[in-house]
Amino acid sequence: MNALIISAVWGVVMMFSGILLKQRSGIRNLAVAGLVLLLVSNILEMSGTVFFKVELKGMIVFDRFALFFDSIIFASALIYLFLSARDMEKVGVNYAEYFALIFFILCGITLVASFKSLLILFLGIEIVSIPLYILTGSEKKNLKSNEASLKYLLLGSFSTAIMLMGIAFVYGATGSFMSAEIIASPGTVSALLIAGMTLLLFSMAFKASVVPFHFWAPDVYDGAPTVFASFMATIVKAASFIAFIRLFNDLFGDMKPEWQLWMAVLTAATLFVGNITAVFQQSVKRMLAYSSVAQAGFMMFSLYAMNTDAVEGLLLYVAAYSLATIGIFAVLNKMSDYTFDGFNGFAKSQPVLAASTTICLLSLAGIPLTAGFLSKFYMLRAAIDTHKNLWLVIFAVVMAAVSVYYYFRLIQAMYFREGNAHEIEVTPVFKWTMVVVAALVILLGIFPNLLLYWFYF
Amino acid sequence: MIYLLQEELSKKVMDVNDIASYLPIGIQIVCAAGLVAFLMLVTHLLGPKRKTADKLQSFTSGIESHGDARQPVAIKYFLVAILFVLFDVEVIFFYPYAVNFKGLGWSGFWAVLLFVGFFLCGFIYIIKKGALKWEE
Amino acid sequence: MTLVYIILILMFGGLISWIIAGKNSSLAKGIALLAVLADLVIIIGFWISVYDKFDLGSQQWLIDYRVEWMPQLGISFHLAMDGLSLLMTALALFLGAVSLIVSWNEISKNLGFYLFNALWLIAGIIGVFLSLDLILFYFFWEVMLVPMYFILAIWGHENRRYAGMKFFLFTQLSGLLMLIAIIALYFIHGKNSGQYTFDYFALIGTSLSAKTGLWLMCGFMIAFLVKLGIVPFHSWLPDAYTQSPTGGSILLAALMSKTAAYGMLRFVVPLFPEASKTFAPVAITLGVVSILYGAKLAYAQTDLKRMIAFSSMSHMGFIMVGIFSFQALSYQGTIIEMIAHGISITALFTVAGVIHARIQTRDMDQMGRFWEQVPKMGAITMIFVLATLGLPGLGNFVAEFLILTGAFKSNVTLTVLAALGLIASMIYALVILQKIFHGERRKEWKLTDLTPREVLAMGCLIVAIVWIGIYPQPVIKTAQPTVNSLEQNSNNTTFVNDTGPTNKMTLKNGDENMTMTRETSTFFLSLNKKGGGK
Repeated sequence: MNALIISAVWGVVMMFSGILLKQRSGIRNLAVAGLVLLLVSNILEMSGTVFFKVELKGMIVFDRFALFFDSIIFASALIYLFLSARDMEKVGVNYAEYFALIFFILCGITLVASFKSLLILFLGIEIVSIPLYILTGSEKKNLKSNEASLKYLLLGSFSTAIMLMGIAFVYGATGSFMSAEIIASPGTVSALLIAGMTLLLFSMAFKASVVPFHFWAPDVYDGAPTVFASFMATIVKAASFIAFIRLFNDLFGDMKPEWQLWMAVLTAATLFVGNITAVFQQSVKRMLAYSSVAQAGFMMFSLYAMNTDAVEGLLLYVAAYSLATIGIFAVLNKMSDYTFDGFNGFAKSQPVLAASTTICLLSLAGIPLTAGFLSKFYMLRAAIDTHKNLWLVIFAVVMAAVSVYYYFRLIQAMYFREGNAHEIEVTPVFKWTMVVVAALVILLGIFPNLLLYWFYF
Repeated sequence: MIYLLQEELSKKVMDVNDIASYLPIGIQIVCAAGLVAFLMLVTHLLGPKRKTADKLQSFTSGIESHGDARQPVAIKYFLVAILFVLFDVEVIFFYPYAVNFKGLGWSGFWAVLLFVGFFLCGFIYIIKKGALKWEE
Repeated sequence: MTLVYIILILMFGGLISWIIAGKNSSLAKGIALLAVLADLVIIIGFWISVYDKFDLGSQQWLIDYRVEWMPQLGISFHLAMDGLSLLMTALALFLGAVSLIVSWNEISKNLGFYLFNALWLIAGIIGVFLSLDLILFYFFWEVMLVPMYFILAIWGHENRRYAGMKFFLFTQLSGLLMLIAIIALYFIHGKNSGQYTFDYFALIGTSLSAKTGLWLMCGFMIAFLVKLGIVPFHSWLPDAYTQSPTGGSILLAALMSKTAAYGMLRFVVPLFPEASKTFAPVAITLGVVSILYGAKLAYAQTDLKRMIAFSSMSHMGFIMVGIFSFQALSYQGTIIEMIAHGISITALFTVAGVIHARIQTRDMDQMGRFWEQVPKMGAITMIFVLATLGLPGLGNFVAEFLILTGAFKSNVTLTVLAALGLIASMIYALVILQKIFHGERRKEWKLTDLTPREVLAMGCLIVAIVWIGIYPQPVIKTAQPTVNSLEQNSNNTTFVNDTGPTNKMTLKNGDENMTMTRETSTFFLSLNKKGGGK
């Protein structure tokens, strides 16, 4: 509850900061302060301190899982701000508004992470999506950005419509929006409910960029300003997966046999398309866009398996994936040339950044001693624990090996190719934050309990 | 805040599962579509048709039209129009509150006050941003 | 804790030399070498102190170190050492030190990072030899890959990036398949016993249905076959071996391939006794095919390093034959082969590296009549060529002889075919000597003979290979307890098949915890002795 209210209010505060504060550093510091406040208040709520007592009638429940997830998201967002806040200046003139929109998105994320009613899910998804449409198109002079924004808006509204239709069907079948009542609704599974569930599945798959609903993702990530693409590909994607897993765990958990094969097929398709397409990209930004689709495939495992391992694993996966991807995007954003060749000789000119980026890439590729390996390990474990569809696991492993190819291409460019990567300006804060990101990735890879311990106590 | 406006007054509709209960909606749809179709058809059939050059010209209050309608319009018009729609539509939310005014009591009042407060913030924001300035 | 220190010394040594290399390159090299040598001293000291304990029937495990790591997943940090891993660790450190010495001046670009990678690679290899938790094993298995990839792709020869990527993809994919098998085994064991753990001692008694066992074993085998470079999984091998810098080739061919052989001995045979029996004919056939096909390909090469690579592949075939014959003699032979092959291949790659450093080519068609100019190099090469072709008195002969003797008991036809490999190896090995050091002089080269540093390294290798060839007893004695338990393991399963419930019950007891397993294994040992079976 703390985070929900503070993030909404702080969004308004950020809006006005653009009018009241003249200096950009002031705006930036205010945003960082707000995020720290969010994170602290959320952690306080985990230990039982709630600032705002509001009767929610069970429509939103801030349980352990939701709060824990929110903490991960806020921490990632904080790192994101440290790395990329300065680069938002390059995008356009409405500096304060970008932060305001980001806070509104965070507000939406707290909603989707803790909904118990389909109405709240819808509300949350919309609060997340609408600011994103704006952020995507925020580079007004850039045609690609405009195109991406329009595409995103049209397809996004379409998927929202499908979601509403699904909610309506579920309501028609069970007579309620509340997840507890939907589960408790008597009688056999009706065709209406299945139809509603399928529509919800499609719309959520769209939001999480799962193949075959992924077509918007690479174009939008590519067209959007890199700073915001990084935000969308990590934090927002994580949120849509949390909503996804909550939806299918809370509402349709009993109907697992009905949708499990669907999930398996979607997982396989996502892994295949994401990985294979990423191999052929020439631009690092586009490669990262497809890699985010491919990683979504691995996150789909948690939906497919839907057991304790899967839920824990998803949290770890989200943390590992967000950290690594935010790091790589932040470095990418500093480059003038987004192709692989633009990174040639980067290790010589910026050894610290190159090493940190390499660790992030290794984590994405799932090499042991990084967080990426353990999160993949969790996913595979969860999937094998279902004791069926072993083909899916083997397929995923083959695809993971494919992913090594394109991640290592970037490492090769940085280390093994001669070239003059352009001189880039980096502040010490940026450098140190990258080192912290790399250290966190390794730390989580060796002691995942540091993170997961919170979940248990 | 949302729960406030749905309140206990609206009891949950029971047993809507059977297809028969959708009948009224079906009739409604048929009627609505039928009415539109009927009206269009009837005007088409009954109206006299005299196609002259003057008749086909677009009507602009008697002033002779000139130029193309599809030319750029200042963005300010859109801005004001959109802001108008926004603030206008929000007023709709007062309607359910007005209906349940007594039942919601003080807590409802505070909630609506909060709503208006946020609204006011938005209004101040657009004024400060200069969205309503016509000059310049 | 000793085992942890051994690994940590290497890792910290690597870090420190990376940091200092920018300021003082020879100090960095010195520190790296010192770290390896310090470990070597620790291991040899330990070996001497426990040497008397390796009698028949003694405890197999010398050190057992276990702390919880991720308890909710059943993962522990479990290192342990028996005779086999002691030998392998010592070998890794010895050859690691040699590889550092011979590539002392070879690396000039980015030296610190090279030392870091080399030391972490050795640490990873030793970790593989020591870890007894399957996930920890997988960790080290993968930790080896990244430094090796860097060594290959940064300091390799002309085609290094292609070779590096190929190497990484092959090993990564096969490793992931092994991971699936590990997790599946974990769940099956957990379901049977209620105790979810990746611990080797717990998993070793898991009873599997024939079909499941075979599938899981295939998961492990794929990883090992790829690393070992057995036909048909060998296509990465010649590229990687050829394109590496000398130090990398040594670590790759002499040590990393041994991790696969070790994995088969440590994990495949004990964890899946029945499945490996079923698989044995296929495995031995693959081994024989590798022996002959590798020899044939080696003969056809003109690139010196590529030729050595294929000869290595041919010798790995012997290891396959040795392991899957399930005889005490062939197990011993396999272990000696692992050591002897490690030493001889190190020497051959060193020679190739030394020649390449002097004349900038590996093409044997451009060499010839080198003996006149560089007699020392010629003489040393001859010793190792003879070792490779299996001359009595040198290590490889003992190994291959034991393997073939053991294998003869289990499969006559295939053993005869494998023995043909000895003749083939003679042909290609002598070609090396003939083309490079004798024959016509095809081009005028200015050659300098071996430097004292190189002579020192080669001298160590000669001493080692002659020692194993003439007096292999210490190795045999050290490996004996491991070999015993391996043999019992295969006997146990036949017992279960033959007779009934009593033995099954002991196996069941073995499931419960690791101490029980150890007790049962000693119990069986004493039983065997009383029965006078072996």
